[in-house]
Amino acid sequence: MNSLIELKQVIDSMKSFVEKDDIDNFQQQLSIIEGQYTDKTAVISVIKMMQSMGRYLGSRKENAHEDTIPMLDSIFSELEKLVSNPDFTTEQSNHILSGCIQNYKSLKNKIASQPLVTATEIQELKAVILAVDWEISDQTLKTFDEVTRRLLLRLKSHKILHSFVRIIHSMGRYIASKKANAHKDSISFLRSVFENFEKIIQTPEMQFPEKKKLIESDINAFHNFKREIASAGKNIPDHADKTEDENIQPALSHVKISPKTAEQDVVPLHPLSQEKPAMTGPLDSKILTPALTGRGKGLPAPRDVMDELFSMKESPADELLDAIHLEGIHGPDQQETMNRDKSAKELQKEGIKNFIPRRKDNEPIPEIGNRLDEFFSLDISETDDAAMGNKIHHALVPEEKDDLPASDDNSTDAIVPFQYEDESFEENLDNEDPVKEARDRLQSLVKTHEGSLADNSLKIMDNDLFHLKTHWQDDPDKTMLIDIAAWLLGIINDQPEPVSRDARGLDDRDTKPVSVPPTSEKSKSEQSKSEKPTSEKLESPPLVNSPAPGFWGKLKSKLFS
Amino acid sequence: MALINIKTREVQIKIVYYGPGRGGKTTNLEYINQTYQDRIKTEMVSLKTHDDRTLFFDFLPFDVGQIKGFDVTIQLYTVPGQVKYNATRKLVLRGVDGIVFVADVQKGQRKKNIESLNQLYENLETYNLDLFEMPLVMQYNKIDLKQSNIPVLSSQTLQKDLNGLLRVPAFEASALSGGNVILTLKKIISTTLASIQDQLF
Repeated sequence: MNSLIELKQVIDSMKSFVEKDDIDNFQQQLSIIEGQYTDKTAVISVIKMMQSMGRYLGSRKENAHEDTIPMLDSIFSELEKLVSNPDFTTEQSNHILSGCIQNYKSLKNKIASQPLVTATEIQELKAVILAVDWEISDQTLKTFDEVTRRLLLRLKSHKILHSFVRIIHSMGRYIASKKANAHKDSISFLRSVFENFEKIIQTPEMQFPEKKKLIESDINAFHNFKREIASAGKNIPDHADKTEDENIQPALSHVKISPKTAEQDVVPLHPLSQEKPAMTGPLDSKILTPALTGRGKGLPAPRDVMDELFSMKESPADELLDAIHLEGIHGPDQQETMNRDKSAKELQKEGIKNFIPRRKDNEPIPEIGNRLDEFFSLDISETDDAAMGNKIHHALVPEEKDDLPASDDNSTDAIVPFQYEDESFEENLDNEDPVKEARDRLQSLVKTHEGSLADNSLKIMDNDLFHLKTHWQDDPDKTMLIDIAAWLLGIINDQPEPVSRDARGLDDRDTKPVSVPPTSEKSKSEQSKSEKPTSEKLESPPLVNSPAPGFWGKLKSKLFS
Repeated sequence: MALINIKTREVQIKIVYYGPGRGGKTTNLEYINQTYQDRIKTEMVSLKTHDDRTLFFDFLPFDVGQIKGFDVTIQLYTVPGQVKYNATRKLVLRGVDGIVFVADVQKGQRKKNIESLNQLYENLETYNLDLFEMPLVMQYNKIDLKQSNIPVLSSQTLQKDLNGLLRVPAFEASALSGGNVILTLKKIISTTLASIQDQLF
């Protein structure tokens, strides 16, 4: 069969569908014809154009420009003229050739100007990305995969565009696998890659270096993203610990900068021991009712706040309630209300001082700890702590333990006067102790009488002081304090010897100012040592139950001489 | 401010339990009141909403006895923890001498603890008081929830969040069962008295 006829048949067959065999056959027939007309320059040039178009068709097949086959058919007609008419002059042949070249260039321009991705395809890709952003469902992910695969195939020969679509496709596959657990930046990164891809498609005049810069930037970002996902996967925190691991600014960090780094030197903590009860001591024997037991049953009903606005104010709480209700703390006068210091009027009262406590990180005097321990029955508890070897607790309050004075009555080295008072008070809680009675009576009289004392009260106080002094005769500190109290009582009532029935013979020294004896530990200790032994004191004139004649006189002369 | 009556030899100090809502401030006072009812001998004033939340404040006064010849009276207050009651919180802080900050150890309460402490600082500023100079004790309450497998903040986190800068004594506590409630109270009273002992004893 003639090669020209066969070439015509192949071209006709490609009008319906382009197959590889057709392309191969097409190129083969052209080569045969080329071999037959090597001396015909015009024929060879036309064959070269057709071979180029054949290669284009072979690469694009059905996606080739729609004018390709018609143009190929047209050029074949011109080739047929040149081959069939060997008598054509050079001028005639060149004329036919220039026509073919024009058509060829025209097709070439059409192919070059054709968009690689159509506007519809761009919209389709954009739609599936937005759909994934809105909801990660199987359907949206399936559509996403279809669209991106189609573009990958289409842009296979366009390296830059193909790379963009590959990144988009990979991101889609990652999101599909992780779904809601995908990295929080996944969708935003996907959208940024698409925006660059769209920019290149919609800007045909964009130069290659600019396109290259965009794709290189996105490829780097893609690699960084992959690394971030890989590292996050290794250190995924437990969900329950998320709050604790969260980087939250510590309290007050906006007002003060820590002189230390965050990790070091955290203040030690008093842990809650699970083994021992919260409180021990005298109250241990009682079965304690847990807090809140019977709440809403045994406790009194909420007070009628409005009624109480007009009642007598008996406590600071009542005054505070009035302030809340009447001083406009929620209104425009809030600042004024806050700054109104009610205790100012208290200041005017004689003898009242106000102190604003400032943390000094100093240790409380031992008496404070002792008094509180006694009130809260904590002595035994702390001893237990020490026995249990509770190092943390011990380390935190070492001074309180170490500074505790000896509670042994026989020890005179660390005597704290009122500690003895407290101890004797505790010891005789359950007995009708005359000493306790006397002390209570004295306290009551001192508290209730701010002015001069009636004669009757003076007598009672006189007797009580006498009894106390008798009882504490072996304790020089206490006897000295009683003496001072008796003397002060006399000063207050403007009577040199108000409590003394037996010191009327004393001279003027009674009314003169007297320096208070030294009370330092050292002097106390020295004084204790200088005291006579207890046995000797017991041999002194009997002082129990009846006032001894000349008691105050002897006492004062001993004290102040 | 501590009231000191030289004439009658009385000292009165005001301790405020401060912290986020539902942290256990009222429970602290209720435990103290019930445990030492026979010694306190005064009525605890507690005004609550219908859902058992503190409406205004709780008030529990008591005398601890004599210290160096001074009768010492302690007034315990709580503040309402809910965010909307800050004006009341400010008012309760007027004249405060010592503060117990009751933090909730539950993980979900971490931010609220920090916000509450920050607000305490600001509220004290309105009275020209500096939290960094105020007698203060930290209490990390509800530590017993750990046994019920409820996620709680670690002590290290709490110390960093709340006590990294203040560096004051801190106690883990279970106010409901009374764990460390009294030790916390003793610590704040002794710290507050120690801050004024130079003027007194």
